[in-house]
Amino acid sequence: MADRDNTLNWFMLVLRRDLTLSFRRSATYITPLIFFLIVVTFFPLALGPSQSLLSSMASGIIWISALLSSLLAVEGIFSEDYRDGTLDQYFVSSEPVFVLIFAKVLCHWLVCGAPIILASIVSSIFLYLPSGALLALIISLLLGTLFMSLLGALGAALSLGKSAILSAIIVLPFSIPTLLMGTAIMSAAINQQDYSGFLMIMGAMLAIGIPGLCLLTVEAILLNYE
Amino acid sequence: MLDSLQILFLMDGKGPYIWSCLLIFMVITSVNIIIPIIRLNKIYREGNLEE
Amino acid sequence: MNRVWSRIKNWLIAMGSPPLFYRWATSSLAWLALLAFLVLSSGLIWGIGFSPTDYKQGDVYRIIYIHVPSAILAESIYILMAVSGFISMVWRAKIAGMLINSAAPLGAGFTLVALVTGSIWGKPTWGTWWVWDARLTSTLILFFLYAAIIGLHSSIENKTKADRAVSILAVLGVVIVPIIKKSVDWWQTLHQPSTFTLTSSPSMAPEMYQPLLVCVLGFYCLFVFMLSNSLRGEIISRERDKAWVKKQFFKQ
Repeated sequence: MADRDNTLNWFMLVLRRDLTLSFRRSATYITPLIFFLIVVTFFPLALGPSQSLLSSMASGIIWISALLSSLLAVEGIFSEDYRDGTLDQYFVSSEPVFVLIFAKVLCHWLVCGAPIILASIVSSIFLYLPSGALLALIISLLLGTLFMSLLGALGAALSLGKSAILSAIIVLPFSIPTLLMGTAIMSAAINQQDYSGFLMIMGAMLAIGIPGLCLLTVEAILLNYE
Repeated sequence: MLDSLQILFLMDGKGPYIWSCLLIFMVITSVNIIIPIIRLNKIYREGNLEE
Repeated sequence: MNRVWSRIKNWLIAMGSPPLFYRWATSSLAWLALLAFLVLSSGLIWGIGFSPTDYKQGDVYRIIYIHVPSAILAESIYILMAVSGFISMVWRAKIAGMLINSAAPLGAGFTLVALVTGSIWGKPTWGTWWVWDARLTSTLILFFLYAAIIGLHSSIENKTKADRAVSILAVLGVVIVPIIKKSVDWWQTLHQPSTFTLTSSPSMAPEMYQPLLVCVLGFYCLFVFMLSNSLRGEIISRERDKAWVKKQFFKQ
């Protein structure tokens, strides 16, 4: 194997391990997709099938469903590794733990984000989203679900072993800027305006969020080792 | 005196709004003051019961 | 001047010890309550009773003397909790963690007062009980943040661990709160139809502004009293097995 003292190698190792484990169980990547579709389906059921109504609400509905799905999907990110002791190994190693945590979050985003984005493309048809906004939807969701995975990981670490709904209460208010940015991108795209400024803001949130949230997640996980 | 009190109370027909706000503020604040006092008294009673 | 600073610093460091804070709080509770009562009641009576009637809103604007100080305090308490959380994380000061737990319900209470009084103010002025204007929406989100802290702390049994978890949340929150406020402000301007203009606070004549300042000061005094009261109870409840508690608090 390559030089074990290189942090990047450890990062790739954790990433590869988690990807392998996630793909072994199809539930990991199917359930977020199905949950997303179910939530999206409930809106026309509750509000009526009028095309104009759904079309005007489409970007909001898709974004909210994506938020909830990615939040709920992150719940179990640390539980197994905590139980069987792999997480202890991260802390005992000489590598910066937040890098390894980011590997886990990245893996989760790759595994669950892709189904969510696929589901959102399908939902854009269900909800009569104007076709010009589809590209904006995919790009904004790519960034948004990554931020949600980061936040969700922090929530999962804080409420490790406790209810998922508590984790949701903790994390959802912090996802409001992402939600507002994402839907702003969507409405700009629907009105055929330039949304690159919003994308840059989302990128900035990610640039600060990736190191910041991963560091806080490490702190939160350490709490469980008292 | 009574007349100006009447004016104060009714506030040009909008009296209930203002006084209900004051009432809500008093209630929530009192609850937040009284609950810690009750907790402390409970601990005191329990602690002295053990001895 | 240096002597004053060092005395203040020594007092602050002393307050970091739970038994010393308990002693100070118990002896100071009476005068803190009196001070709060005096300042707050004079501010409220001046504002609600004697300030001039507003040209646009009539007398209803007097709710401002309760609504605005509550909102200001709701935010200040969150910042206090975040600073306390930082102190708890960096210096592992137990009292900082206890402070977060005591201040959270107080902050939630003030946020609730701000929300309800804002809503009641909205009915005669805007015609509805609720409107998604930037300030009310941010206050609602702040309420959720407080609820998250209270919920997280109560769900963890080991209270020291709970303190640490909540410190992380508070510190993260204080970073996010300005971002949330800015984005909600901006969201408002994005969606607000230009025909509907909200009458926010009336343009303030000094006769209206002065009682407001006194009210804000009164609310702060009230908070200091409430926090001392609550933190005192929290300290005893957490440290009840310690020798100093047995000596000082319980009958011998």
